[in-house]
This record gives sequence, structure tokens and C-alpha cells, in this order.
Amino acid sequence: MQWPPPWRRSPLVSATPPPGPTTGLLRPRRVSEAGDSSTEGARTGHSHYVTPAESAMERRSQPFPSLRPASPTNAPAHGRGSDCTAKEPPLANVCRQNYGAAQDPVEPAGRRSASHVTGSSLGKAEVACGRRWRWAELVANSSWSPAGRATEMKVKMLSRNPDNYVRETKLDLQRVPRNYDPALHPFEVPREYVRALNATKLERVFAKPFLASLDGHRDGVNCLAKHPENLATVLSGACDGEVRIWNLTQRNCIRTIQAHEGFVRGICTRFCGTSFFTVGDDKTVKQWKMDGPGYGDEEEPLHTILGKTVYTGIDHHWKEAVFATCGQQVDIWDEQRTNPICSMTWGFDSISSVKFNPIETFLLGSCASDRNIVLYDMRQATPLKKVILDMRTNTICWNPMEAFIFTAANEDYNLYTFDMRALDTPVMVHMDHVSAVLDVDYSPTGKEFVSASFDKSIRIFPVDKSRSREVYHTKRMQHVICVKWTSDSKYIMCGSDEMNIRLWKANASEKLGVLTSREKAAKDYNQKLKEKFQHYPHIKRIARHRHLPKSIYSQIQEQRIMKEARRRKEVNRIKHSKPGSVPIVSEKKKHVVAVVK
Amino acid sequence: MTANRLAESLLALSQQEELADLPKDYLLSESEDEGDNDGERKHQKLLEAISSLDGKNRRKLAERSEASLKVSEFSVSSEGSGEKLVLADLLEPVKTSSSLATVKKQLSRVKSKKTVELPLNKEEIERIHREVAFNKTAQVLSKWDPVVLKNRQAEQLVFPLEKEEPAIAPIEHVLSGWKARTPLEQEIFNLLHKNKQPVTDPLLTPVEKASLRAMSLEEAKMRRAELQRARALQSYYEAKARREKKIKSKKYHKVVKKGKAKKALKEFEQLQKVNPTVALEEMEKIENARMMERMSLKHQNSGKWAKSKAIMAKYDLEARQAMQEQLSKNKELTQKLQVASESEEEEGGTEVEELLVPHVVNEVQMNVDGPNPWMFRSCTSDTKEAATQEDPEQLPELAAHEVSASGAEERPVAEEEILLREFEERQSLRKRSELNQDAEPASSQETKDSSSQEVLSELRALSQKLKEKHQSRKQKASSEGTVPQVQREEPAPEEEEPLLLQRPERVQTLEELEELGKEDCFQNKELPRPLLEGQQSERTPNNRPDAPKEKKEKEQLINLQNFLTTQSPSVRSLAVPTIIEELEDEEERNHRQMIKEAFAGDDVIRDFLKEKREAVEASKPKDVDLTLPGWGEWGGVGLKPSAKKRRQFLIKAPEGPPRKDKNLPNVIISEKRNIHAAAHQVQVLPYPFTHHRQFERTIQTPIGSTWNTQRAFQKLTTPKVVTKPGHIIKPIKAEDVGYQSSSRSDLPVIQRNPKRITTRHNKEEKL
Repeated sequence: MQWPPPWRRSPLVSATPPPGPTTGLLRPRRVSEAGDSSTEGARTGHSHYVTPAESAMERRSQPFPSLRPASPTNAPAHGRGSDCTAKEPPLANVCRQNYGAAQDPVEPAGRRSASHVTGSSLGKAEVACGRRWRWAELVANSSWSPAGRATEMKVKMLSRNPDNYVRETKLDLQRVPRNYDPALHPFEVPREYVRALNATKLERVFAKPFLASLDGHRDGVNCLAKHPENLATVLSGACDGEVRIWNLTQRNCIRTIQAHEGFVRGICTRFCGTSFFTVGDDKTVKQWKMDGPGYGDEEEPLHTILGKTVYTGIDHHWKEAVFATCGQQVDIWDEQRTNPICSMTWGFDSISSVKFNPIETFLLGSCASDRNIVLYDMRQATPLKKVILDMRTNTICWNPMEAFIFTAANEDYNLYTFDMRALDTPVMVHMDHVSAVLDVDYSPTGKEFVSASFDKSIRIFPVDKSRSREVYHTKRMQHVICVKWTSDSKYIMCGSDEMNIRLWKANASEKLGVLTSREKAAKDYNQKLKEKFQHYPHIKRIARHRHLPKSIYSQIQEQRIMKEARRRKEVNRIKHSKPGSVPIVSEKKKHVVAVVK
Repeated sequence: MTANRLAESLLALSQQEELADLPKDYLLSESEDEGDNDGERKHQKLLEAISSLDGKNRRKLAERSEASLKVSEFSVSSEGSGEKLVLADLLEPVKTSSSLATVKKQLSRVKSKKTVELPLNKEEIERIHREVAFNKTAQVLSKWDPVVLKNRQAEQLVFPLEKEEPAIAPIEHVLSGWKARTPLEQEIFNLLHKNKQPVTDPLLTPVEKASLRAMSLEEAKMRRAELQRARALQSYYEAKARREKKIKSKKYHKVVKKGKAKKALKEFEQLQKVNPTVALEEMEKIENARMMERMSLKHQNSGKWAKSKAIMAKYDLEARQAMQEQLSKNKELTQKLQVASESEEEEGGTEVEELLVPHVVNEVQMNVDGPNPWMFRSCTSDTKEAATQEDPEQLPELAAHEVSASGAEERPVAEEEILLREFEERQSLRKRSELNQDAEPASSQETKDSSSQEVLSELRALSQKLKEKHQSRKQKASSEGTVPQVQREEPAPEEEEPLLLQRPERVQTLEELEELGKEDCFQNKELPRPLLEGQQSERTPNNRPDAPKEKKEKEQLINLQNFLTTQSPSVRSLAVPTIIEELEDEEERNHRQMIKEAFAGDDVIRDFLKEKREAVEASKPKDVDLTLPGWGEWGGVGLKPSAKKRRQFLIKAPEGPPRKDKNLPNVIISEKRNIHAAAHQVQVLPYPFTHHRQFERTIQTPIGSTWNTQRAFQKLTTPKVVTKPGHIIKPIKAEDVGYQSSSRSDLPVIQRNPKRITTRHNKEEKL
């Protein structure tokens, strides 16, 4: 007897393998009913499957029609997308009709192989022709078989559903079927790594952040202001008292005003964008209309307030007709009055900058030259708290998305991000500049900020990182005095000592203009890849690489050495003194001298 | 006068010997005659004296500022006045007038009030103000905490934050401007309107309201009365049941129980007559009760009560009786059906033993022929295998035919047996309905009949019998009621088989366990078999010549032993464990032996050592040989450079660092490191990760569209921050995140209090 017995034998085992040229393309899908049908067939006594000997015989004797229909309409047996079974022989006829397969049921084997490239097989052999092909089963009757056996046999064949591969319009993308089985795609990590490496390199290649330089001022640019309603309009005040209004799209100056004698110390726009305020060294606060005067009219301010002391900074309230100036004290003014509504002071020193909180608008922050940062509450007309740092803070800026977070640009080359409720420890100390930080401004998304420094560079810091992600500099850019992030979060402007305002991209390698969806997808994918592989040494090195001017570079080296020396000394001191007698102070706490209630 | 005074003072001065500190000395001198307490006055005097020294006599008379009793002619002083001046006295006029009473009263009121404490200094006050203000502000700000946290952790933030909200029209508006067009819509509308389903959401639909209104008052009353009655009845019944339950008399309960049992029996008998199928179900219930009884140890005299009784039993007749009762009950419960099934073949025998045998064993056996399909299948398959194996020996001519048949009949046999059991049950039921004594001889007759039949048929092979069964089954199916006689005769040989399946194993295990209990030895293997064979021979003498059957039985025995050894743990714990362990040991030994034999050829350890040696050799730095044959001496075929030269030009490689696996004999640590690959590998675990596996996992999941579906790819590559080009991003507002923005103005408090402002401004202007 044979082994295994016929009912144990899987029909698939005895089937012929798929024809040569197509094997590489796809794996046949096997219908797994072998297990069930074997026992069933054995019990009932009539098997759907034939023994190999029989099948071989049939194979030899049968004609070999290709069973692939030309179209679904021609062969009703091949239902759309679903397998179907048809009894009785029309099969042979159908086949004959459709393909002109051999008329004679008995046909030499040689013909068979030539009959069809894709769909040639016999009996229940599996024909693997295309992934989207469905199996259709046809049961051939005994009459079909030349031997005249009373056996029924299953014929499996493929059908194709045009829905799966035909485009609706010419504009559609070609459908590319793909098998996502991970077993078929080894080396996914190395491939993605290479992609990430390429993306990083390309990012560096395309990193050209500098967009434009706006020249026209006749002295160093001392202050900048954004237009609240118009992205293209920027205002700047220079050290010679001149105020200029710029159009960024045309990159030219729209309007020039000789606003003050001496420096323009501060400039701010009204929240509605109809007017702006300037303060200068001539002890005046002036309000100007945003639109220029009519033809022949003289350039005149709307209002002028003569003060007793020099005002060093100004900021406008975000909702109401109120603005704040700073100098000897912080004054809060109603736009309609010539006297401040209230003035708040704490200690006696000149205050260099005052800023309204953009979210909780009754809060103010100021920084003075006696090294402190003071917070005020406008409603209660009282200062709230004061923190004294190591060195003087030049400016502060509130986070536009997080009400209680602000960042202070300090003379000691660092920036400090504070939570205003816990001033004793800054949330983060941002270090990278090698000279005093003069200005800081938040991105409107609140995720990053830009800082301008005396070291002739501007840097972009993520709020939660202590190191900068980007540094911008050019040969001709001198000490950067003021910096602003535009309100669409795409560009950065900086005004510097050498009378120019420069426009930068916030993301150095970003492509400007409208992106197609595929470009967008590629950009997102590359971004994610860079993020994913950011810790890999090669990628990290390439991503971090920046060219720096020699002065900054050598300064950085020097600072590093100094810092290391200080650290070493600290460590040695701790090592050689009684344990516990020298307290270990964290970097964050080191710079805070005191918090005054 | 003044001159005199001056002279006096000067004299006093001159009297002093020391000229050092003038005022001090002067004071000292004064203290001699007047005392320390009025030094101040003296000092005053001195100052006066000094001021008068400048020549011009501009001395003013002391002004009188207070009322005093003693009025000097020059000046008024209160010196020496012992009385205090009271304010009220001053106010009092010479004549008392009523008009001043109110003033007096006010005065007294003022006096009664305590003095106001000194105000804090300005800095302190400001500080307190600041602190309070700060706390208030911090509290206001803390409402942003969740928002900030959410935004920081957000997978994606889309700016600008405020979205254009799609205007949602109320549903009534939509409905009014909309008509049902398609048939489906119309159908739905019809339905809705038929039920008067409200579009909006009131409490009750009109239909419900209508139904509420529909019930008349009388109907409602009737229903209520009905309900009340039912409730009352229920409460009566409950009360009664509670009362009965509380009765403590045992006798009463016994009587009740007995009564119930009788009643049940009566009902059962009636049922049998009227409705046999229901009775059959009842029977099954009884059978179940029996099984429960056998499983539990309820009436085994092993409970607490029983033990206490056992102690008493020696002396107390009643206790003994009670125990006997229990035992009898147990017997009764456990025996009932056994009589029916076993009475046919087994004449007594095991019944006595049964009480002694732990019930778990019984349970197992019961399971073997009982409902457990696993046990059942293994048994049947065993028999089948035995049959197929033995067949070729016995009946070679039939073999070819049999192979297919037996395979095909695999399932039918199982069905057969089920049918058989049913049949048995039915038989037993019938017998039960008659008298037991009558049934037993009948069954024995049947067995005899069957045996004689077997003799007649010359004891064909088991396979043939199976075939017969198959045929008989078919016959049954075809002509169920028509040929009762054939059925009578046919089942007999069929019954033979299940018994053969059951019986030997039971006997074997019982005996085995008995022996174990008695002797605690492990000779049971040898002992029971002859015993069993003897029994068999006695019991079925006509079966004796049938060799294959016995073989089969033997196999069965072995199988059963397997069962015992690999049974559930409970069985193992109850059956004496030592033997089983021994068996296991033996098995293990066998296993080990087998493995040893299988791997006799390989010496793994030596292979490993060799491999390690090779690895060490391969990793060693190689010497460099720089000898040039024929250089400086003769060369040619067969000539080798001299040893000296070789020594001279052999550059020995420096010994590398010791291998890491030098002291680990069982380990090979590869020290090859691909430097080129290392440059691309992460050396240190990056910050947010705590375990390298976490990091690896993030790397291993691909994000590209090459490995992910389009949707997944989009999801995986969503950027963290999305901004729209050309859109101004405003700072976050309270309304953006669902907070109410405060309607209060940010203007200072003083702004709303113009009076204060003006005063303040005036002050400032003054400054």
C-alpha cells in the first residue's frame, strides 16, 4: 500500500508547481481546506481529489486550456472579487471560446506549455499570475475527463478584478500593489538609516537661511516691532532717532520718520495695528499713525507726551488702550491722558525693558540695571516679586503659549527661562552665546525662541533645550541689538549695529513657497527620519556641524576651558573639604542670587 | 539776678579741679546737691548759661504754658503740684449747665476706647501687599497648567489655534427645509410621523402619553387590588416558611423529609406510567445524585459528627446505629444504578471492597467509561489500534479490506457506543420497573446467549465483529421497530466489548490499590496479573482460546498503568506515592539512557575546546617573516635559509592584550570588532531612554512607506508642529482652550476710583 493514504494527502502536494517565469513574482495563495476535506472525503467515500497517479494520468491526457477569462463579463463564473464554484462542463466550452484552446481533448503535452504564458496549468494546479487575481474554483465533471472516471475534481483558477488595478482617471497615481509582510523586507533599519543620513546631509546642503538685508538706516538699529495684523510690515527705530517702516515682501522701506532726537529707545505697535508708539532719548513718548500723511502734509505724531525722565522702553497692552513705559519707574499710561495712570517702582535704578504678558494681560515684567527682574500686576498696581541674578538682564520675553513662562536675556552670555511662580530656580538655562545676550523673542508657536547677542550672531533655542539648535551669522553683521520672530513663525528679523535689518528663515533648509503634497510627505518623512536616528554618531555630527566665524569659534574654545577650570576647582574644593561643608549647587541655581518678596 | 547766677555757676566751675569735660563735670557737681533725677533740668540751665555768655543779655522769661498751683512771680511751673489736672474739670464751668452733658458723654466714650496700635512702617505694608498680590496671581496662572501640559505633550499642534467653527444649524431648521425624496427616506418619515416621534427630545413621546392616558380608573384599581393580593399571599407564605424553618425539633424535620421523599417516589412512579421520557430525565437526576454522593464524602462517616460518634460508638448503641444508618444510606445512594449496569456481568465481588476504596479512584474509573471524552477516546483508539495491529496476523487475507474499513469506521464506532449506552440505560430502566431479581437472571441468560453465539461464530476476529456492529447499526437505523428479536440478539456481542474495556482496568486498579493499602509494597505488577488472568479464565472460559483478545487486554492493562502514573495529581496523592516515584525514576533513567545512546558518537565538550583553541589561534597577531631565500647565501630548490637568518628576519608580533575569555573555559568571546560599523553605531544610551531595548524598539519599527501602508505612513510621519503659511499666529487665549476670559478690565483699581487718582497726581505734581 501507499503511504500516506489518499485521504491524508493534501491536494496541494500533488499539484504541479507554478510555471517558471511567474514564480518569482508572487507566492501562490493556498486555500487551506486540505485538512478538513481529507477526512471528510475519506469517510464519504468519494474524494474531490485524485491520487497522484490518477492526476498524472489526467495531466498527460487532458487538454490544457488556459483558464483565465478575458474579462469578467465573458465568464460569469468569475464573480467580482469572490470565489465561486460552477458545476458542469461549460468550463471546457468556455475555455475554448475564450482562448481558443485546443479543441481536441487529447493533446500532447508540448502544446500545453506553450498555450499561455501566465495561466497555464492543469487540473487543480495553482497558477500564480498576479497578486490581485482571485481563485475561482470550477468543478469539472467526469465527462470532461477522457478516462471517464466518476470523479469530480476541483479546478482552481484566477480571476482579475479591474477595480484593483485600473485608475479612475489619468491623473490618478498608478496603483502599486505591495506586500508589507516584514519577512519580505529585511534590512529595513539599515535602509532607513541610509535615508536618514542622506536627509541630514541634504538638510545641511540646503541650509541657506539668509534671505535679505534691509538697508537704509543711517545709524545702528536699536529696536524692532512687528505689525500685529500685517505680516509684511515691520517697524524699526535707529540710534539717530529715525523710524522706518519696511515692507518685507518688496524688501524696501515704505516710510521714514525722524521721530526723536537721539536714540529711539523703544517702539511698539497698537494691538489693532492702526498706530504705533515710540520713546526716545528726548524724554518724549510719541504716538504715530501707521499710514503715512497725505500728500503735502507734514509728518507729525498723533500725540506727544513730554516726560520728566528718559524712557528706555515701551510696550503696548494686548487688548486695551493702555501702554507701559519704563525708565526710572514703570509707568502705565492711558492713551488719552498725558499722565500715567499709575507708576510702580521697587528700588531705584533705571529699568531697561518692560513687557506685557500676552496671555494674562494684566501681568508685566521688567528688568533693571541693578541685576533684577521685577514682575508687576497692573490690576492691583503693585509689583509682585523680584529675582536678582548674577548679572544684568537686558530684555525679557513672555512665552505666547504658556502664560507663566518667560525668558530673560542676560549679560552673562546666558538666557534664563523662568516659571514666574517659582523664581528661585530657572526652568532652563540656555547657554551657547559667547557674549552678552541683548534681545530675545519667542516664536509664536511658543516652542522656540531666538536670541540676539553682542557676539555678532543670533541663535535659535528650543524652549526645553539648553543648547541652541541653530546659529546665524554673516561676515558683515555686527553686534545684533534687536531680534524679532515674525508672527507666522517662518522668519526671523534682526537689527544690528551696522545699520542693517536682516531677514532669515527660521528653518534654515526649509523650502519656501507652496509645497505639493508629495513634497510635504517627503519633508515630513525626512524630518521623522532625522528625529529617529538623531542619536547615531554620524548623523549627529553632520546635523550639528556649523561654520562659525573665527572670533566666535575661538571664544567658544576659551569659554570651554574656563568653564572646565571652574568646574575642576569646584570639584577639588568639594573633594578636599569636610563632606557637606561645601554645598553642591546646580547650574540652574548658581545664577540666581536672591528672590525678593 | 542773672549776674548772680552766672557768678554762681562760674564759681562752681572754678571749684572743679579737672577741666576736661565741661558739661559732664558740671552735671556731676550739680548732682551733689540736687540729685540725678533732675539732671535734665540742670542741663537746660547750663545751656542757658552758656548761651548767655556771649555778652548780650537776651534772656527771655520762661513762658507759662501750664496751669499750676504755685505761680512764681517770674514763671509758671507745675513743680511741686501733687494733683493731676483732669480734663473734665477744665470743661466744667462754674455753674453746671445741661448743654455740656453731651460733650461729657462723648468724652467718656472716647476715653473708654482703647488706643489704636501703631501702623506698620511703609516697607512692611508694601511687602505684605506684594505677597498677597503674588499669591493671587499665581493662583490665576495655575489654571493654565493643564493647557500647557497638554500642549507640551501633544502629538501634533496645529497653528493658528483658533479654528473657524462650522456653523451648525439647529435640527428643526434642517428638517423644515428638507423633503424626503427617495423611497427609503419616505419610508422613514412615514414611520416617524406614524409614531409621532418627536424630532427634538421631550420626556415622553406622544404615543407614550396616549398610552398613559388610555388606562381607565377602574382598570387601574383592579390591577392594584390584584397586585396587593398577590403581595399579601407572598408575605403569608414567606412567614410560614420562616416559622417552619425555625422549628428545632429533629423529629419533625425527619418526618417532613420522609414525607417529601415518599411523595417524590410516588410522583416518579406515576410519571413512569404516564410519561416515560420525563421519567427518564428524572432517572438521570437520580443518577446525578448518585455521582455526587460518590464524589463527596458525605455519608462516609468521615465528617466531624461521624468521628465524634465513632468515639461514642463503643458505649452508645444509638451512636452505633446512627453510623450504620449513614453507611447504609451511602450504600443505597451509591449502589442504585450500579445494580442495573453491572448485574449483567459482574456477580457481586467488588461491592464489598468498594467502601474501602477511596472514592477518587472510583471516580477516575467512572470517568474512564463515563462522560470524559478524553479518557474515552484514548480507550477506544487503543482498542482500535490493537485491532488494526492484530488483524494482519490473524487474518492476512482480510487485511487489505480492513485497513480502509477500520479507518472509515472510526467515528461510527464512537457513535455506536453511545447508542449502546443508551440502550443499556433503557434496559436498566425496564428492569427497574419490573423487579430487580427478575432482571438479573434474564441478563445472565443473555450473556450466556451471547457467549454461545460467539462459540457458534467461531470467534471471528474483532474487526469482523466491528463490521457486524456496523451492519447491525444500519439495520437498526433502517428497521427500528420491525425486528425486535434481532435487536435482542445483536446487542449481546456488542455489550461484550464495553465490558471488556471497562472491567479489567477496574479490577486491576482496585486490587492494586487494595494491596498497596495492605502491604505497602510495589510487587503489585507481578501479583495482580496472574490473579486477574485467573479471574478472567474463570469468568470467560470460552474466551480463553482467543489469543488476540487477551493480548489486547494486556495492552489495555499497560495503558491503564500509564493512566495511573500520569493521572491527575489528586490520584497520585491518594494512591501510594512511593511506587509512582519509583516508576518515574525508572522512566527517567530510561530516558537518560536513550539520550546517551542517541548521542554516543558526539563529544561536544572536546569539539568546543577545539573550536576555542582555533578561535584563540586565529585572533593571535601573526609573526612577520622577512627572510629572503638566496639573499647572501646559496639558494635553489631544496635549500632553506639558515636558521640564524630566519631568526634574524622574523619579526615577532607583539602580544596582544589578554583575551577576555582566558579564564572562562566554557565561553568564547569574540574580540573582533568592526570599526567601520562601530562608527555608525550608538555607543551610549541616549537620554530619554532607560533601557537599550526601548531604544532598539524605536529604531526597529520602520516608518517609511516602503514598509507601511499609506495610512500608517501618514500617521507615523505627522509633524509635531503644523503652521499655515501666511497666517498670523496670535498668542493663546482663554477662549481657545475653553476657559472664560475674565470680563474684568485690566486697568488698575485706582483707575476706577478717580478721586484717588487726582490726589495721587497732585502729589506727584508737587514733587
